[in-house]
Amino acid sequence: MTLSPRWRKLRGDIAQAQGRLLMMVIAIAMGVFAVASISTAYTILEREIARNYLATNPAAALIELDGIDENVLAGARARTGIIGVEAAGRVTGRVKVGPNEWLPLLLFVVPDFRAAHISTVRLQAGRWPAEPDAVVLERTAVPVANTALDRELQVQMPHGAERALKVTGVVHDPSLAPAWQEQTVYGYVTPATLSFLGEDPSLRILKVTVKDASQDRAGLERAVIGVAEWLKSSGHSVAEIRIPPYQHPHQGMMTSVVRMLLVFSVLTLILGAILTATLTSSLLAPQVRQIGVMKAIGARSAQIKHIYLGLIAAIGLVAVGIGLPLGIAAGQALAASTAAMLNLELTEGSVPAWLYGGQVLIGVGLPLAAALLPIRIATRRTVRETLSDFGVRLAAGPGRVIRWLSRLSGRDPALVLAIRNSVSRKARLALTLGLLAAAGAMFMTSLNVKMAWQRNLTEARAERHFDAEFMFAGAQPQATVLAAVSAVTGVRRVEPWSSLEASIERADGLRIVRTYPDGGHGSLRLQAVPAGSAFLSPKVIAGHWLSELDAGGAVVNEQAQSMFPGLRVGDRIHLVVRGAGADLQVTGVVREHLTPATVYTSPQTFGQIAREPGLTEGVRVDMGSPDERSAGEVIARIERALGNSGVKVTQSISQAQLGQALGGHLYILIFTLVAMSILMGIVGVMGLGSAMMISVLERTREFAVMRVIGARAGAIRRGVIAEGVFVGILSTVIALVLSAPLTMAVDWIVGAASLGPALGTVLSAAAMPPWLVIIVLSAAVASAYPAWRASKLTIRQALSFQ
Amino acid sequence: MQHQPLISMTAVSKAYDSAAGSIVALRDVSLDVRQGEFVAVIGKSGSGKTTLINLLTGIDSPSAGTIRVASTNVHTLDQEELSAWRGRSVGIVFQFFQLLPTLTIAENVMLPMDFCNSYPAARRRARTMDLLEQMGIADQANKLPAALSGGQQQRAAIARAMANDPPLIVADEPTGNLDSRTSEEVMEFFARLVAAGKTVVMVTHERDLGRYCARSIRLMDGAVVSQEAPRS
Repeated sequence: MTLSPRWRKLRGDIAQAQGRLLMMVIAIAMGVFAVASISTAYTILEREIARNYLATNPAAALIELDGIDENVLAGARARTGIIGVEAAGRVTGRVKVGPNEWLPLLLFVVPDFRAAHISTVRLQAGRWPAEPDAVVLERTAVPVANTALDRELQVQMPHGAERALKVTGVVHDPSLAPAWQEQTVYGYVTPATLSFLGEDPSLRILKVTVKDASQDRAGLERAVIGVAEWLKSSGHSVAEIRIPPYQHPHQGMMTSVVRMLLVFSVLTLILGAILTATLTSSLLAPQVRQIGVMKAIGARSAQIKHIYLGLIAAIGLVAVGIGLPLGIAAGQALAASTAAMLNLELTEGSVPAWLYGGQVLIGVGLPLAAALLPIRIATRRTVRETLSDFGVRLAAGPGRVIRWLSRLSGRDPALVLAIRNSVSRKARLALTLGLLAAAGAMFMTSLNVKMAWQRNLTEARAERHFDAEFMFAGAQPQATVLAAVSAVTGVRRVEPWSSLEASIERADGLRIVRTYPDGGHGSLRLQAVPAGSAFLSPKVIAGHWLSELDAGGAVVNEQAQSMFPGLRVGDRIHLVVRGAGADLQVTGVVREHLTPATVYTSPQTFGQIAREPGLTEGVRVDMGSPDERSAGEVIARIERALGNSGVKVTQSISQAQLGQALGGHLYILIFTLVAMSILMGIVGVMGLGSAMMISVLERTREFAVMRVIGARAGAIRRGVIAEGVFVGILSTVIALVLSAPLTMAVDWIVGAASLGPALGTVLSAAAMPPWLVIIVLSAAVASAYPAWRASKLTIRQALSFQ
Repeated sequence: MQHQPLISMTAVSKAYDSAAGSIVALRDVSLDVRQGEFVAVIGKSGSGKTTLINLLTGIDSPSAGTIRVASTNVHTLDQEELSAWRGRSVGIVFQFFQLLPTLTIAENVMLPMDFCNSYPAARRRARTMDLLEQMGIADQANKLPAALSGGQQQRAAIARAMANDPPLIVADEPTGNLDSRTSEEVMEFFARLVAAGKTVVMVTHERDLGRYCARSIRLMDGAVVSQEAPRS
């Protein structure tokens, strides 16, 4: 089939504008790549995180009671809505990971791993624990515990001595956050091992599965409460009911972050489409007369429009052909690395067909939509306008803005001309500025978010003026503990800091908490703060900090405040601590960084609630901010001193360990943001380069005139480059302004997703200089070729330019 | 042979707005051109010649007055209708030829047929070659415009103007870019077209070429100052 002349014309135009068309393809391909990679990762992760979690047949609720026997199991199984029950246990201890270093140990107790069918784990290596001294570890816990399969593990439980367990197997438990993230070792043992470790082997947790647990949360709660009410009526005491959110602990964060990245990747594609519009303008600029001629010989606007839209569609298809497979491959790699970070196993990396279809649609549709305007403008011009087009013109002399800008450049006519030229085509300037400013705003946002995260870490450290925290197996006499610890070399100051798990009181007297199976995520604690303590200095955002005058008063942090809808200073909160109710009046709200939901109260109030006046559950120690090694040595000495005083330590954690658990969570996000901004920056600089090309094309005659009146090639080059740099600088100012709301939005998403109420926005001017340097250099480079072309035009060529 | 007027312009004026104020390019012009007539529009630079033919071809619209070509009231058509009308009814020849540089000569000539769908696709090539043969450049059919001399390009432009067999040919300084010998050849082509029944309106500032025309309309400051037969 032979092509009609109009399509042959298009073919000829393509051959003449290969560079610009290649830029269009690259820009759109990059946008498609960004969207394809993030949406692929999103699709895979959303599917796999749910699939991994549900594959464990997770317990819908964990009911902690005084004891479980066959009657309990049979009776609970018979309750309405319950489809499965199982007995289990969960105890916390600690594991030795270095000479003076301990980490929390969370042991999940299962009577028979082979027969278990609720909250199951998958054995990946070795064998299930058979002997009393056997333990299997979660796979992410093995390196954290500094051990290996068939090696030993030194552990200590609240009621037993330090014992060695043999690691007989490694399992995968996708319902838990990775051990390295939480700095906690997860182990799985039988009740016999608990006895071996000196703990009560009785199983006290009833794992329950409920019909339609993920869909019908209200029905789930009704069914679980039904079991609890039955247990109470059967004479059992129900200590606590845990109803986890029925998803991976980090699923919410992952979804929010990936969605945010998806928004940015779509933004990159939109920028690519805008660049297509700019490049389409540059493609059409030298064709203005040809369009006029075609219309003069009978072409209708629609016919010409179809020619160029066909070209853009073809470019979109080629770009999708390049960007889509690469994007999907990158998305699969991103999903794999994120899955490793979340301790998930990807069962398959396929993406649904709609994703391919959607990408083709937006990869072709967005550039078409963006190019429609310049094509429409070019094809709607009348024949007279097109035939009399001689490039840049000012309708009625320079406006106020141009005059003001011109004054800035002093008396250098080349610079005056550069500035006037850059603002003379307002629509094109807006597009170029939009491209560069969006990229710059993204770059600055990523640096701002990084700084906000670092500030959070710094402020979290600044709020805590102690170096280590020790928790005991039960309440200990304060005087004994303080005397023992304060006598240790390296200890500057020690204070009693007690804390207990708490829950919100309900009318039915049940204690229902929303914590995850690890007991950490989503928990609420009641914490006693010694009078006049300088160990904690959170920022008070409402009311006031604890005062000795506020008997029965409490201060909540923002994370705890969010658990009580509408809570204000002066309101009362009703908690359940150790099975008993506690009524507290909120006297203040504080902002704390990287801290779980906590209710602070005085030692007196805490002692009354916990029914242990004069005792303490733990201590915090100021050691004068030693290095990690010295801290370890002091901690070891403190433990020995406490041991000599008959105080058993269940947990000891240094601020360095805490920092490790908190730090690093967001660096992958920041890296991705910077990578995304670089992609956008490339698109932006390409846009600037194309805008400069159009400008040079349009002003060909002007350059000829300049050469005729004595301008040297260097002066012309300097003028064109100055124009590009001026646009770059202008875009940086806009980017700085745009980065403010963008930073706030990202901080809100990240904060809400991972750390509680707020990450805290940092708008730093320090983010601007690096971008300014990048953009000025890039603008100079992008303008260099058009500048070189402009300076190489001979006067004859330029004056005869049509 | 007495012909009906093909073109009828009545009280046509055209003014342009500019930063310096309104500029009147054409004032109260009325004229008729009969079918089969060869008319030259002459005048100095800025006299309104180009404006007159821009209005005649619908490239520009009048500020006042009416323009009728054959049975079409040109001044009432919108841009899309004008494009379609021009494709069927008017062939335009420009001073700078305005051939599309990325198309071969034959493709340039076929382009109006393509846009107007005026001949079956299978016949377009043959018609193109026939037109190029008449213009004496059939051997250049597959070359790009840049490979041709100015005279050859203008012949190709005339062939393109004839592609849809329009009754009216409008030429704006068709010899302005050609040497005298080639100019004579181009004028002879136009004369042949007129002899074949076409109407030709040509803008020129070369009074010598007026001898090919049946009538010369002289413009000065936007007004028709004389309409006369050539002196020789």
